[in-house]
Amino acid sequence: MLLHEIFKPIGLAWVGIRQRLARAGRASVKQVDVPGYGTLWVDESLNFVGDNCLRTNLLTKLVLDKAISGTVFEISSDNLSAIETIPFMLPNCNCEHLVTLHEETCQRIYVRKRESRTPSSSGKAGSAPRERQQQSDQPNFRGNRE
Amino acid sequence: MTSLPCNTVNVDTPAVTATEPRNAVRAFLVLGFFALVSLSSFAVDHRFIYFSAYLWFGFIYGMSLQYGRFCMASAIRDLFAVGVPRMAVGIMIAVVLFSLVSAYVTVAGKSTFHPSPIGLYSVVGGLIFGIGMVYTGGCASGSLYKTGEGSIAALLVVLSLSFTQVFFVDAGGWFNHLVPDAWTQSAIAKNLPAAVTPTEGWYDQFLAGYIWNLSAKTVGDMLGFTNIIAAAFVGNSLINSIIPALVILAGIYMRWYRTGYLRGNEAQYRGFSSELAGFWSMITASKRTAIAGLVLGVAAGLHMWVMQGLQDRLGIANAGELLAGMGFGNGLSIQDTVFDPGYFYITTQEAQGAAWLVQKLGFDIMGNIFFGLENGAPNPLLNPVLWMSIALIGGASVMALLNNEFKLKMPSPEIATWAIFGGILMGIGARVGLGCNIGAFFATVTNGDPSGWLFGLGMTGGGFIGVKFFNWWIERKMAKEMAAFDL
Repeated sequence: MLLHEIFKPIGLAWVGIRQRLARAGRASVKQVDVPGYGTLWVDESLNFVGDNCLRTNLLTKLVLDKAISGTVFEISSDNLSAIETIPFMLPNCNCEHLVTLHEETCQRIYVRKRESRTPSSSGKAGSAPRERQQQSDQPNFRGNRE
Repeated sequence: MTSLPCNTVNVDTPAVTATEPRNAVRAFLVLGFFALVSLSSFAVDHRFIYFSAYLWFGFIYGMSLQYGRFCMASAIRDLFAVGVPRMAVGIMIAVVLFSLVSAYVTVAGKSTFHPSPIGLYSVVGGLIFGIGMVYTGGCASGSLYKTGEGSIAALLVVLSLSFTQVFFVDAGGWFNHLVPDAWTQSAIAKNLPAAVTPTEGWYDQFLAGYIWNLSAKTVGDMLGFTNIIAAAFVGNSLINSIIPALVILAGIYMRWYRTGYLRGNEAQYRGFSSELAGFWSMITASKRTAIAGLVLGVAAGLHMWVMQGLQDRLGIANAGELLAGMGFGNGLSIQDTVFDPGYFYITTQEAQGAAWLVQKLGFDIMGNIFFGLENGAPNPLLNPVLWMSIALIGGASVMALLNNEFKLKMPSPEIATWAIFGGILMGIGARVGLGCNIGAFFATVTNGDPSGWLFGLGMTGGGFIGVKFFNWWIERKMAKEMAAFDL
């Protein structure tokens, strides 16, 4: 009983994570006007509005690590700490920061996955990003708008 | 598709936008409120200037913390979770600067600092606190400044850790069975006033039977420096703060920054000079955090100077004397004292505020050492150190408003649950470790007290455990989710 009470918050947390993963999987491929830059095709949207920094950062990293080359992500968050941390973690995920848009309710970070590196240069051999064309059957990372 | 520029320089600098008029008005209203409190209280009694000193340093801390997003939870979590060192670097900058200012203040005879006992309890307390702060998403000071940004989840953390401390320090009954007999005997031998019932309650016996038996010394004292300048600058600052901070920075550089930096500068590698350039690049990678660390370090040192100066001027050693002198004796400890560290501190005054409320609800919480003998539980309006915490929230609000970053955010049930659960762990950790990330780490390591590093060690370990557990949990669930997609 006590164990159940202790792990109940963790279960609740997972409900939230699953909802966000499902949400992220649904929101894909859209066009965004970036003031001063032009139009950007976004392959995947990750919405972390309302989340705390740990979850925002961790889930972003997990998704970016598994993403395929060339995928453009839109990461939405209203957590100031997470917003400022994400651009710093992008090199470790082999991604580049395109631009951050400041909106009234949240900020949107646009990120592109770089071309694949060799396993030796990308850290863990198993974490090398996959090529988009090889993973075209994957629903979450399927965007292809070149 | 239009090609977008790669924008990775100064990524922590927000877009330069003018403060919205309504936010400017709100910021001035908050500032005006604290100015009014200061002036009106001074008009009532000039001794309230002591309270105002806490208030305005709290205000500066709040502005700095919000500006730099300064958070110990973020520092540890970002390192272990996503490999980003910027916050840990900012904190080490603040440690170095605070230690130098503290050394100067000590030499000038204006230091209010008292070292904590050195023992394993610091590691244990830090460990529990570290796990909690990872789950809440903010340390004790981080939760306060985020409350100032409008985060109700952060406010829940503050409330949770405050009330947890009250219940924890007063917990007796079944908890007495967890007390080693040696602690009980040692507590009895102290001949404490009967009013605090030192043999009833786990925490009372922890303090009187264990903590009070430990020795408390700064590194300057341990090394036997008789010259105060050598003790302060060499023992306390150089040996206890600057060298460990530099070692930690070097470790962070090697483990988390070097590979990425050199990968981008492979063509120009010139041996040690390139390594130094990389190290400097890490230090200056986040200007906001570095600037916040600089301001915090200097302000925290000056805070001690001002408080000691005021104590000398007012002829007191503790704010309890002021309250008693002004006719506000309620809530003082049986020694007529209140919690009055004279420097940056977070958790104890929040526990006092919660204790006052619990007492108003009819519960007696003064029968223990923590409140009854040492810290008291005065009315929050008459608690000088609590003025600092409230002003810290105000200062963070002002900074957030001026940058158009203030936003009232209600937590989801899930986030609220984590906030309360993590806050409970932080409250327990803070009491076992005799402080939080500020009182038991930041203020101690910078004043030559090695117990701060023990707390920091535990806090880092706790943060590591929290992050790894969370990471494992998410990855496990993600794998199941992917399996559900039949991938």
